[in-house]
Amino acid sequence: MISVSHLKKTYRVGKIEVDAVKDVSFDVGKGEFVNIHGPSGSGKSTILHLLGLLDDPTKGTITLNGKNVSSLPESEKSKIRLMKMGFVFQEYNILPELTALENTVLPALMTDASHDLIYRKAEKILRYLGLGHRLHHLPSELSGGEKQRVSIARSLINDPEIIFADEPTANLDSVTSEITINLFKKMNEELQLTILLVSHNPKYLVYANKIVFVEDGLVKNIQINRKTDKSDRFSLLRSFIRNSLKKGYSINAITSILVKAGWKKSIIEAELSTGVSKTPVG
Amino acid sequence: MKLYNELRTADFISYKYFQKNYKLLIFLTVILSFSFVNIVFFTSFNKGLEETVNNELRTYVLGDIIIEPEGGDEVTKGQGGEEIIENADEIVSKIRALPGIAGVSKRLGLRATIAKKGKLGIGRLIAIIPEEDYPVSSLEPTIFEGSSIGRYEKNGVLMGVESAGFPWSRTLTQGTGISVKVGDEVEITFDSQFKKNYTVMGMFDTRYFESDFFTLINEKEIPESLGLKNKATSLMITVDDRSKLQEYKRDILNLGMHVKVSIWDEKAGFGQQVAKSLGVIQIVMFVAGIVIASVTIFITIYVNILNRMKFIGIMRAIGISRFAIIVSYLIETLFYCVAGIFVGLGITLAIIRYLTIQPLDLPLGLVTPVATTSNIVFGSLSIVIASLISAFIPTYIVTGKNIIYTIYRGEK
Repeated sequence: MISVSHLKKTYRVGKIEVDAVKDVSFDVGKGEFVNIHGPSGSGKSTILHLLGLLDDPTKGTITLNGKNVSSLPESEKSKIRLMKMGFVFQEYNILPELTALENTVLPALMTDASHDLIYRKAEKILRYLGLGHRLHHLPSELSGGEKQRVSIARSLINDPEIIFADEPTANLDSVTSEITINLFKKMNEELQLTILLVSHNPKYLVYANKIVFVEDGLVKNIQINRKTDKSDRFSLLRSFIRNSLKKGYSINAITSILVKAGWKKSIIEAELSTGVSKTPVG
Repeated sequence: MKLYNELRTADFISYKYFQKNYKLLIFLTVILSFSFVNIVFFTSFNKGLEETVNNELRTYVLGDIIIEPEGGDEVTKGQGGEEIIENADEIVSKIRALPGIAGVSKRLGLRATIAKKGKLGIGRLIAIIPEEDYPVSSLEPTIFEGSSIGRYEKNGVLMGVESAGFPWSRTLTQGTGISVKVGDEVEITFDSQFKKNYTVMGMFDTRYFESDFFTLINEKEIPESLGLKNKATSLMITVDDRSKLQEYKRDILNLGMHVKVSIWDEKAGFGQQVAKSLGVIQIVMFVAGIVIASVTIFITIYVNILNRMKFIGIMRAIGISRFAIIVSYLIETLFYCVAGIFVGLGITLAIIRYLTIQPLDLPLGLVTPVATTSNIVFGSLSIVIASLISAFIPTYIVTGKNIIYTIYRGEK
C-alpha cells in the first residue's frame, strides 16, 4: 500500500543542517497495524509526517498504491490527505470553535457528500466511538480522552484507507491511553483500516502487526508479528485491571472503560473475577 | 474538488468562527464604520457645499441662463471699462417673446462707491428694475429688515448684509467698512464724479457672500447724465422647464444677437472651484479612511491568523484546501465590512438628517451634506476592496507556509 524508499529529510537550523531522517525504506501493507517505535528525537514523527504528505522529503520516494506521491503538487497531496488519509495528533488538534459533531464533519464538507449524509455519518462515527452523548459539546467541555476520540472520528469521516496517529496517547492518562489504543486496534480489525502509529511507549508494541524501530533517523529493525500476540494483550488487560483496582476504581467503572476500549464483557468479567481474587484491595 | 464544496467549507469555517468571536466583530465594525463615515460624510459634505454654492449662484447671480456682452455692434465699453450690452431693452423684449421664458431681468453693474459719513463701504452697486428682477433673482424673500425698493420709491437702496457691514456681515469685523441700518443715509459716488444720497430701504441676506455684497438701486434712480439708459452688463433669465435649458439657449442664439449666452452651470465655475479645492482635502480624507480600514483589517487578520496558525495547519493537514481557508477569511472579512458599512451608513444618515434640520452655517451659505447613491456605493466598495486585499495578503502568506511549520510554529 505504502512504500518508502531511501527517504531523507534534512532541516536547516540557521546555518546548520540537521538530518532528521537519514535513509529510511520500508513497506506498509493494506490492513496492517504498524507501530513506528523509537526514543524521543529519533525521527519517527518526521517519518509519519512525510508518509502523511504533510512535509516534503529532501530525498527519496513515497509510493501510495503504486503511485509516486512524494513529488505531487500541494493541491494533489491535499486531495490525497482528504480522501485517503486520516490524521490523529498528540494534542488532539480539534478546532475550539466547533462542537464534536462539527469538528467531525469538517473534512467531509470538502467532498461531494450531501449535508444530511455527512451529519448522519458523523453522528454514527461519534456514537461508535462512545461520544453519542457529547455531539454538541465544544472541545472546552470535553475531557482529554473525549477530545482525542473526536479527533479519531474526524479522521474516519471520509472513509480513509490509512490512519496516521502521532503519539495519540502522549497527553492522556493511562486508562484513557489504553482505551484509545484499543480503539485503534478495533478500527484496524473491524474496519480493515491500515494504522500507522507513532509511539515511544513499548506497552503498545503488542498491538502492531509490524514494528519499525527507529533510532537516530534510521530504521534499526523491522519486526513482523504474523499474528498479534493475544496472550500479551491479555496480560496487558490483567495489568490494567490490577492497576485500576489498586487506584480504587469500582468494578463497574473498570468494566465500562474496557467495554469502550473494545473488550467483550464476558472476557472482562472473567478476568475481573481472577483479578479480584488475586489482588488485595486497599 | 468542486468549487461548491470548497465554498461550502469556507462558509462553514467562517460562520462558525464569526459566531464565537463577537468581540472582534464589534471592534472591527466600529473601526470600519468610522472609516466609512470619514469617506462618505466628507464626500457628501463636499457635494452639499457644491450644490449650495451652485444653487445660490443660479438663484441670486446667474439665473437659469445668463446673457453677457460679447464683442460686436451691440456691445461697447462702459464708463468703468467693463463691457456693456447696448440696446438691452430690445434684447429683453425679444427674449421675453420666446416660448418657455419665465422672466428676464436686466442688470447693470455700476462703477460707484458707497460711503457713510465719509467712510467707504465694500459692495457692488447693481441697477435693477425691481418688479422685473425679484421674480427672476428671488432676492425679495431674503429681505429680513425694512422693505424692498419698489417701482415708486425715490432715493432708496436695498443692501446685502456684506454690503451693509457690521454687525450684519459674516466676513467683516467691527471697524471695517461702513455699518448701516435701515433708514440710514448713504452717499453714492458714480464714476468718481457724481454724488447723491440714498436711504437704506431694506437689507437682504441670501447667505451667499457674492450676492450679499450687492447694493441694489432702481434703474430709474441712476443719474441721466451718466448716459446708461438702455444698457446692461448682464441679463438674468429664468425658464419654465429647466430640463430644456439647451433648447432655450439655442432659441436665444437663433435670435442672432451678438451676445454671449450661457447656461448657468457653464458659468458656475466658483462652485466647481470650491468643490475642486475641497476635492484635494476629500482625497486626503478618502486615503486616510482607506488606510485606516486597510491597516486595521491587515493587522487584525494577521494577528488573528498568527493566533490560529496551528489550526490553519491542522485544517490543511486534514485536507481542507488552501483556497477554502483563504476564502473563509475573506468571507469573515466581508461580514465585518457589511457590519461596518451598515453601522457607518446609519451614523452618516443620522448626521445628514441632523444637518438637514440644522444646516451648517458657512459664509458660502447654509450647507446640508448630500449623500448620493454613487457616493455610498463608491465608499462601500472602496472599504470592501481595501479590506479584502488587506485580509488576503496575510492569509495567502500563512497558508503558503509548510504545514508542519504552521502546526508546530517553527519548532522545526
